[in-house]
Amino acid sequence: MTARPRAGTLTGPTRRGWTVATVLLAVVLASLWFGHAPPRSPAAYDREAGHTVSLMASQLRTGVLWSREHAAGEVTSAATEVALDEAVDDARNTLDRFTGYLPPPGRHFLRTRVSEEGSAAVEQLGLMRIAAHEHDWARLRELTRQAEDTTTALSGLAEGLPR
Amino acid sequence: MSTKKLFAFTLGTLSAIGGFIDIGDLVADALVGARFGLRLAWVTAFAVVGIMCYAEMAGRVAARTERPAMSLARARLGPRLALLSLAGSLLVTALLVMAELSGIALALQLATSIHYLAWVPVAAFLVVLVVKVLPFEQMERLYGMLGLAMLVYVVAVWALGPDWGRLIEDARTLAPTPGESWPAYFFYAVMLIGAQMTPYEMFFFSSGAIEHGWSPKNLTEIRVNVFIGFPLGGLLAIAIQAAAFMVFSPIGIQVEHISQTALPVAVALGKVGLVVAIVGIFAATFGATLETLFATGYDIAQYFGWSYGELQAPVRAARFTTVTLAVLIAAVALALTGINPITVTIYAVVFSSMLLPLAFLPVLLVANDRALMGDLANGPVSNALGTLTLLVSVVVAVSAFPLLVLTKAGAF
Repeated sequence: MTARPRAGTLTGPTRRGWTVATVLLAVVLASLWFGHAPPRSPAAYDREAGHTVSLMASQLRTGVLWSREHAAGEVTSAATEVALDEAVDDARNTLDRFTGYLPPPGRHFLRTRVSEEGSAAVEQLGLMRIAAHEHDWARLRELTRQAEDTTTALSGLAEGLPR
Repeated sequence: MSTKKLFAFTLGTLSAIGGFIDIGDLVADALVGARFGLRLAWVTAFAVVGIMCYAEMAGRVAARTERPAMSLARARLGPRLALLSLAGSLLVTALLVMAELSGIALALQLATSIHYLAWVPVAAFLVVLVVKVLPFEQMERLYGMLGLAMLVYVVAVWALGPDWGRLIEDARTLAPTPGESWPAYFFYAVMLIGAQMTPYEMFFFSSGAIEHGWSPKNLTEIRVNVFIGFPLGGLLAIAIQAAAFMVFSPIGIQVEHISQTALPVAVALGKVGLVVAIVGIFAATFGATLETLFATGYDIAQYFGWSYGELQAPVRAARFTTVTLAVLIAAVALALTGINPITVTIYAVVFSSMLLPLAFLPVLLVANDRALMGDLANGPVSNALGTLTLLVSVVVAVSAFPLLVLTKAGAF
């Protein structure tokens, strides 16, 4: 296409324009900080714990579902390996983020509990990932059965926490 | 109607279906389906009507005035407001280029189990190769046709044997699922609108109309593509939501990866279904990479009045070619940092929803200008739908950021 004449010309922003832009930027930055701020109150910490546990249960169930479908011959080995890689990474990141928060007074027990159950889930997914990469499908089937118990434990913990 | 013309219509419509679904749609639809079932299907229905209305308007305006949407935005909004629209659109679309490129790489990873970061440069090379080798029309139709593999989601819904009564009841319920909050419900509504009414779709459609050299004689072709292609794209989006709902919701799985969007198809149709879904994801993200990449070049070239176009030799549109190449290189660099493409997609579509009024307003104004448009000016139906869409887009734009912060990007 050929060049077209431009409509109007740009002038520099006014002082008022700069002020509005600065205030807007400050509001956006403050809001983004709020979005990523660690939980300070016990209630916020409980909610974060609930979110962490239900997310980890979801990640574990995703790994279990891929493995079960693989055992049934419904998905490819390559896709199963990828899905288990992602599930392990997600579970580890989710747990690390939560355990990185300082627990408010009276919530150390909750941190310990989530950390224990979460670590078990990460370990379980890690073993499943190794079995998949080694193409040890019998071992993967066995680990999938065990993972279902870990999922039940995580779900039980999630039920007692707010979301 | 001649066979050749009918073939052109069919291909154009197929392109519209394939072009409707991109990484934003894949992620948003699967996420929403797993958490809210079909309770946000009304948002998809609204988004389809809205984007149809504005795509048709932009195509009609381009056919009559031979001027694309961004050029009109500058003329109607003034250079300063149009610059704001350009900056926002450029940022969001460039982020989407990175996300779409990663989407191609993730599809290849799912097929081969080789890490997606290794595929990112390969995907970029493929994009350059296709742009260099294929003419615009063939390129558009190739990914449109391949994108039809996404119809496997519709088949998967059927094969999963849904309780249709429950699905319909779910679609009629305008409230979050038990355990979900209203702010999260509205956040995902905004996200769906951002994913399904992305401004780049309209900018690309209108620039494509200029590239094709469409005139008022092509109005039927424009309308057939829009009125059949986009609703079928919407049907695909609802099928992805339904499939995710049926497989993930009963066992409490939340969607965090592209791989998960293919899983319901595998559950329903086995390995063949999975392979077809991967081909569909590859085609949809490949097509969207080309569209978003060109959209960044079109936007900036049209704003500054540079020569542009895929049909021109690079030397005749040097600045346009430089911008698109620079965006592609920046997208590859950003993707290679390992930043999560799904997170980038979520933020990009939410920010995209904030720009909708600035994209829609100039098109609506020009389409109403009888002196310019003559007998192709908006009628009462176009005006009513366009105004309603614009008003809703203003509400969406104002509420998007507070909802993003309040729900911590949909987590709560």
